[in-house]
Amino acid sequence: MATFEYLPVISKLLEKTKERKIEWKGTYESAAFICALEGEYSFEIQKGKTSSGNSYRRLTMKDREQGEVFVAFAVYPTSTSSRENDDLFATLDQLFEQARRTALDVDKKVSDVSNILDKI
Amino acid sequence: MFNLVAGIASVVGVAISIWTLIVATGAQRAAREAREAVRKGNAAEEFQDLSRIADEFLSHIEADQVPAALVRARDLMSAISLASRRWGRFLSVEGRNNFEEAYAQVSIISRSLSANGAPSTPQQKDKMLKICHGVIRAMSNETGTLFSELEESEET
Repeated sequence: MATFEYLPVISKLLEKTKERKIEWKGTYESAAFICALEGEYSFEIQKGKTSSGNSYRRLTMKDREQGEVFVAFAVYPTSTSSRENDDLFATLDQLFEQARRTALDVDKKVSDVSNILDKI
Repeated sequence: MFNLVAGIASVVGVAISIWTLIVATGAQRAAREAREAVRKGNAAEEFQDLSRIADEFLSHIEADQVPAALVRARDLMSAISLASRRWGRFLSVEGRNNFEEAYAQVSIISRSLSANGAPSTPQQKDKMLKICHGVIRAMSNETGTLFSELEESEET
C-alpha cells in the first residue's frame, strides 16, 4: 500500500487533533510528539532533516505489539517532488504543528502571556 | 402411604439436587475468582518489576552510563510490550495508553542515547530524567491500582 493511501486516516487524525480530542505528549526529542489511542495504537510525529539537508515529516503508527502498521514520510516540496509527496507533506506538517500546540499547551500559554502583557 | 413416602422422597431428592447444583456453581465461581485473583497478583508483580527496570534505567542515565542504559531500555521496552499484551485485560484504557506512551518515551530516549550519547547539557539531562520519572510513575500507578483491587476483593 502506497503511503498516500493512508492520507484519509492521517487527515482524520489531524481533524481530531485540531478539535483537541487527542492528547499528544512531548518527548525527549523536541521535534517528536507521541499519542496513544484507546490503549491499542500509538502514533509518533517527527520533524527532521535528511542527510542531504531536506526537511522531512514522518508519522509512524504502531499497534499494541509495537509492530509498525505504517510509516508516512514526506520531504519538503521541491520542483522535482511528486504531487503525492507534496500533499502528504502539507498534511503531516499541519499535524506536527497541531501536535506541538497540544503537547506544549501553546494556546493557553500564549493567552496567559497576553493577559500578563495587558496588566503591564 | 407408600405413594406419600415416595412423593416426599422425590421432592427431597429434587431439593438435594438443586442444593448440590447451587453449591457446585458457587464453588466453580469461587475457584474461577481465585484463579483470576492469582493472575491479577502475577500481573501486579510483573508491573512492579517494570518499575524496577525503569528505576535502573534512570539510575544508569543519572550516572551517564550509556551502554548500560541502552541495555536496560531494551529490557524495559520488551517487558512493557510483553506485560501489556499478557495482562492488558487488567488495565483500563488509560492504563493501556500509559503503557503505549511509556514504551514510546523509552524508545525515543534510547534512540537519542544511541545516536548522540549521554545528554550534553544539564537541561537535556534534566528533561530525560523527568521523562524517566514519568515512566516509573506510570508503571507504579498501575501496580498500585492492581494491588489495591486485589486487597479490596480479599476483604469482600
